[in-house]
Amino acid sequence: MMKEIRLAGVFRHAERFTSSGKDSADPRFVFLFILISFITINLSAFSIKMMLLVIVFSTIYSIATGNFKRVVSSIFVATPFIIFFSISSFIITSDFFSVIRSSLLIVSIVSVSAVMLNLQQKKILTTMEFFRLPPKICISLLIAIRLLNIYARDFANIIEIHAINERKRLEFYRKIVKATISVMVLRAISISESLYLRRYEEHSFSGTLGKLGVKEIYFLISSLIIFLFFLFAS
Amino acid sequence: MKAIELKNLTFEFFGKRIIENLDFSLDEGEKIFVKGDVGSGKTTLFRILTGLIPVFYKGKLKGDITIFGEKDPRRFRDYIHLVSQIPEEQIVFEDVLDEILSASQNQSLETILYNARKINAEHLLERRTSQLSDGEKQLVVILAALSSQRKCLILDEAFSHLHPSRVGKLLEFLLNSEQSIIFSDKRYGRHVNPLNNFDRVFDLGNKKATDSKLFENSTEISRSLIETPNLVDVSKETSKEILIAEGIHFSYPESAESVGSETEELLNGVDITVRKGEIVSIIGDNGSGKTTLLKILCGILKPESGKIYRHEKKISISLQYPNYGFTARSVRDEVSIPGNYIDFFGLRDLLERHPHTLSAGEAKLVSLLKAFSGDLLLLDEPTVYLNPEFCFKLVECLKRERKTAIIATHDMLLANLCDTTYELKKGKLKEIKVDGGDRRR
Repeated sequence: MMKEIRLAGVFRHAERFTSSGKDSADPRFVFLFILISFITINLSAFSIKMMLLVIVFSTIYSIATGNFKRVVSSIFVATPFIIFFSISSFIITSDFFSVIRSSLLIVSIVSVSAVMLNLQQKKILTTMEFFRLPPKICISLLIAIRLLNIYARDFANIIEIHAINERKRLEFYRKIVKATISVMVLRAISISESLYLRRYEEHSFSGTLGKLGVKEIYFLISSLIIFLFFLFAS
Repeated sequence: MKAIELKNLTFEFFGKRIIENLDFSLDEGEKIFVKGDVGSGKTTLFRILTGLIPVFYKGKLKGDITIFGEKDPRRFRDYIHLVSQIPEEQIVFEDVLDEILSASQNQSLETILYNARKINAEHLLERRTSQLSDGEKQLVVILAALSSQRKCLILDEAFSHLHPSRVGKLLEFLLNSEQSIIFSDKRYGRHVNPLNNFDRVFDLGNKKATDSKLFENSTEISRSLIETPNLVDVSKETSKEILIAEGIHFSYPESAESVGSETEELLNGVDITVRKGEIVSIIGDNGSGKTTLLKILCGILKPESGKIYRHEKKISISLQYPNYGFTARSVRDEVSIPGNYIDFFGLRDLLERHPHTLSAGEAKLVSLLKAFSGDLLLLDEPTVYLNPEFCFKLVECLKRERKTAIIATHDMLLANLCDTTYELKKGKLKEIKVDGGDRRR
């Protein structure tokens, strides 16, 4: 069932999209950018211009920091959601602009997520500790992000194995659903066990957040432009 | 006073008694080799020592347990670090250095680098855990254990995925450390008397520690199987070629953020031809690309260049993590072997069990036998976690059922039993002779 292996390729893109990054930008400025972006998108009633602006700023940053493959992967990841929400939107509203709005909302979420996912995980953790979140909550959030990547990889592996071993199409789909549910539970158990043994609840990454640099200024300026655009132009 | 002391330990899980009236002790700094067959309760014992049982896993636990003067199971993990059988299940973080640091209790980078150099794992520190082979992952979890600064390390089949050339140096480093070591490995105990390197051998089968001679030469156990008649002759002149791979080139793309970065070619012009009924083994160092080659040969991965001709439609693959393949509610519904092999492989007691309740070795066995539904089998480390003599049974079964198999392995005994052995080194595949000479008749 070699065609089904292509399905695994979609989840490899999801795995790549959710993999941890090496961007050394200060997450506080990135979080500010994300916050401003989504607040303004919401308050502008999902204005197409607002969403396009957010997408452009996110994508320029991603490409400029060598994050192009994640951008490409994000398109693969976003496509099924874009199709689903576009069709739903059209069925409900029969409005073409509604379809565009839904699609752009998904793309803006994914493009901003790409920026955040490209940050160094220890810096994200340090930022959460900076905002006085309890260590247990910080590491739980980090593990949640990590699990997206692990589950994407697991799902791709499950599809590949069953695509080779299974010869009937219906059986194949039934088996990958069953295997995925089992592996998700087993994976959660093994990760919990592993974290318990290393006393994760006491652990904190001793990291520094860095000084104001080019990347931080970019996010500050982008946030300002988005905010001003919302106030005066949208 | 003993560092670790278990008296009259009994553990029962869902009505099944796994450990019964066990006495176990360990002095500080002592190195013990734990011996036990598949399903003997080693992993359960190790979980009790780390406090996972009863804190994490419930069950009926009785007996007196003292770990470095501590009786509260929630504190056991402060003194003991467990390296479990399946490295895939232990790794949490994506960057190797983050993974090690999360277990290290803020140990300095210099010490981590020192340990990494000592076990030839320095090259892994800048890598991502998702890009590592199982053997490399095992090195990472061992490195994390060394960095944990716990008083006792438990290594449960921790060398099972490692290339034999790495084992000696790694073991020497561990045995020279000040930490207490509890070590268990079925392959290690095959060719070397554990008493050469360890202070004591603890046989879980007998439930009592002994320093008497318990070592047996496993190659003698199944010499009769080596001489088994009816091995299929696979001569070049008569057997049909069912898989031909020519000029295979492959390299993994780097992670999401690397644009235009150069990646080292993992497979650099690999050629292989496999005939019907032939059993081929591929050996090579950790990270050399054995699993990758298997995935390319079955079609999971596409090579960057080269051609593959497959004349066998029923292909099946068994990779290193068996849980991906289990979907049935019982072992009986999972496996695809003729009924006469049930007792041959010792499956009778496992037939009604749910596959996810099996030990690592049992799960591996079931995963392997599940692959028998195909006519061309691609097996990745089929003998890991299993008793040493299993390789004889595997080869015999493959031959009797006239299966063709390509096996990626570090098990030299298994490689010796195969018709052809290749070594994958620096991206190239080369046919070699393993100890024992040519197995063709």
